[in-house]
Amino acid sequence: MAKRKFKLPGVEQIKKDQDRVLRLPEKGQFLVVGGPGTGKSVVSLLRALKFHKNNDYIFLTFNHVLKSASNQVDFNQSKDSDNRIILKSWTLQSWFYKLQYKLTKEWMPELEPHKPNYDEVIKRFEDLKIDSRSLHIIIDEGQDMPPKFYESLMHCGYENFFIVADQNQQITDDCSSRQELADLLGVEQKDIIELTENHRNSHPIALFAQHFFTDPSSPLPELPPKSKSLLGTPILYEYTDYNDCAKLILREADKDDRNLIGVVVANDDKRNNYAKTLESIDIKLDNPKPIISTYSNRNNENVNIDFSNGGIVILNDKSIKGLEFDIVFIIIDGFNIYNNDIDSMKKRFYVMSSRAIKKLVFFKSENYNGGIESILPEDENILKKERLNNG
Amino acid sequence: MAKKDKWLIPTNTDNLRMIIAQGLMSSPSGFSKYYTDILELFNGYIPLFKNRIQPDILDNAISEVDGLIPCIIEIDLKTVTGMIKGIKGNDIIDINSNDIGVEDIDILLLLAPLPILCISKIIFKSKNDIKDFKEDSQLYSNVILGDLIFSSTLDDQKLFKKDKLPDYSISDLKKITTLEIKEVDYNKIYSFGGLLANLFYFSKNGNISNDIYKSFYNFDKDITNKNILPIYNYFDNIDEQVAENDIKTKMYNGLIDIAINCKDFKENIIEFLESNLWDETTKSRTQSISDRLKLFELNIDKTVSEQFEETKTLLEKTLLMLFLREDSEALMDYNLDIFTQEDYISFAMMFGIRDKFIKTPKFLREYNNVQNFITLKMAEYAHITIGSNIQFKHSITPLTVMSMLNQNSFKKKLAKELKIESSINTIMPNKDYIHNKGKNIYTGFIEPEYEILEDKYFQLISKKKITELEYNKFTKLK
Repeated sequence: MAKRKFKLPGVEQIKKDQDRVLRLPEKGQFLVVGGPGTGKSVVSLLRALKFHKNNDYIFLTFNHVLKSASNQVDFNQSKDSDNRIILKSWTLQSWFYKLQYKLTKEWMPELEPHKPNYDEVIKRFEDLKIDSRSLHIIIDEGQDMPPKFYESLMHCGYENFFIVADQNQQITDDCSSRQELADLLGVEQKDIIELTENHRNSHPIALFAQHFFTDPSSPLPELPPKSKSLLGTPILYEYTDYNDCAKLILREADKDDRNLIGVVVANDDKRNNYAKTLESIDIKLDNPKPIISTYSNRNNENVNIDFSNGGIVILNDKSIKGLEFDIVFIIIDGFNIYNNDIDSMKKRFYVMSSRAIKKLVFFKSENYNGGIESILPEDENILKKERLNNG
Repeated sequence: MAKKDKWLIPTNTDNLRMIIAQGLMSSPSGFSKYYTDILELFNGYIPLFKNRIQPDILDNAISEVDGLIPCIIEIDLKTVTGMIKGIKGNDIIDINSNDIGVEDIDILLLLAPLPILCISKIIFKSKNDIKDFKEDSQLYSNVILGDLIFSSTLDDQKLFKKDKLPDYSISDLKKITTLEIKEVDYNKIYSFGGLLANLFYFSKNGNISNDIYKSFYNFDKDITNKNILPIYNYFDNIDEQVAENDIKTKMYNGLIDIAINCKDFKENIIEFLESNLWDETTKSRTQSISDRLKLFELNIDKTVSEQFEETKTLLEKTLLMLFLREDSEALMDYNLDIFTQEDYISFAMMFGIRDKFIKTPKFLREYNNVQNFITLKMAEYAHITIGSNIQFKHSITPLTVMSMLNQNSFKKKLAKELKIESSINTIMPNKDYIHNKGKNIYTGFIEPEYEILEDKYFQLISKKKITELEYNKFTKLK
């Protein structure tokens, strides 16, 4: 399997607004906001790298898969495994639980399972009268934690925060708005750093994702430069036999075995079905069959996905946040709009579709009736629709 | 030239990083990201200050945004020959590079661009700034510091003092006007650099590849290969108007233009093929190529190798490869048995043109002397295109793997390192010998010759990626 190297950016690829972030002082509170693909994660990873030598930072992510992907970033591409830089990263929740226990020697007070009682935590930390701490806390997807999470950390003596966030990618109920984060960090509006240029998605993919933008309080994300032909326009394939979808995914993986391909599904049944079909289907390929991996957070499994190689990764949509894939296939079957909650489904589609760098493909069974069609763009210039029958 | 004179360019570390990444000290138009400094004052020229720099000129170099760090590039003028301009009073005079020490001149204007190898050292205000710069450079894929020298001696630090000097200030310099000169087409220059770097890499594939690489870097006119010639002619023709007498030239010129200047290569290629530029007969052919490329993008029902097998011309094959692989490094990791040496040359050139020097793979830039040599060739080419008589002295021509293999001193050891012994024949000289008890006995010392079986060699070497560690080891084998 071909190595999929995380490439450090070229100097020219880091734009002036990102340069500004990289020049920020080491100490203080900083908030960086921007839409998908604007390079928030890149600047936070590079910032973490700056502190790596002195080991006085922690890189926090929202979910296990993103943590795993960050951990596998091969920054210096050292051939010597002893010299490889491995990021000091945790998921926000597990680090917070561990921290709380370490300081109080008591279990985390919870309102319900996995929902900390932050008021109680803050009270405990206040009682401890903790001195200030120099650790640099770098948080990716910072919008997904509630304001009281940050308050807790401040009561714990932490002073150096670097948070990147996108209000339009909130996937939890307990989240923080841009204003709340700014207020908490004491960052004035003028000092919030906004990254606006989308470096990840092609124009057709960014245009498609924009269709699902729901935040009325912020302007639409900037689109990459437009082009005339429709090459690269996302496609929705309606299929009869889902083996055809599996074949197409495998051919795509075979086309360039360095590509990391994301297959996004709505639930664990679909995830398992696709994993089995992709493993077992017989198809002529140029290269050996790609590595097929998958993960579910249901069973507290370890993330066993190799992000450093090309291959196919099958994930539920909640697990793909913050990740990026060369090509993304989204299986619409299984996504259903309940209680007419169109906004939350749009947010999910916004996050899913903006993961794709080069190509975005949807599959929908001809028997599907879950209501997603109503939120998909009708304009064939934004989403092409075709029947799939590839034999 | 007085021995101790230093010729200095004040800038900031962000611009310095770009200079190293792009390989040239250029005018601002040659930077894909540029922060204000003295370069923008004299369009097309690089100002050099003798021994000291007025504080407001250094301040100007860090004025665009907060947090910029000043630095000074010292140029080794012995590496530059030709006519240079100097500022005397409010006038600009011409000086021969040999007479610089004779004339009483404090500021020189060198025609841009200069290659990296003209840098004798880079001066920082403090050791800490050097440390930060070196550490920050590791955050980028294309800031290869190589053999650059960094300095912050006490003497160097004095250059950053804020004391006002009786020299030209920024406002004085703004009053001086230079003559209009022909603009360097930096995109084209950087594409030439990308092409040359890739040709250097793929020259390992055999003597055809090696000869074409040499023809390009020597600016020879002896290329006869009909598929390579249009690309050579594109770069050789330095006039604005390129004659397009035949469809092939028109096609290649269009493709190269797109590869050099367009950000969305695939989209623009499709638009180009489907445009109204073509006559009726050609149109059906270009439309069919476009259709094939669009189908290739969809990738519904055939493997990549099957699709390559269906191509009819090298041009089609090259386009398919440009659609398949993202960049030169991805190309270098790909091979199919059906590809020939000529195929790889064509791929290498078009990928290099599209990527430009700035995207030359890190490992290739770390081959001994390759970065310096390619940037030198880019600078030479740039000066040829604007009709300048500036030239650069150097003694760094990195050997290609094929050139090493063609030298007897390297051949045996290198063949073993490359594990290509099965593509070598050993030939004993045609001299008299005695056959005695199963031994062939010659009089005197006899050296066998080692002959490379090119076809067999190509099959092996085209699948082998040569890392910087391997190449750098090879250069020491002699």
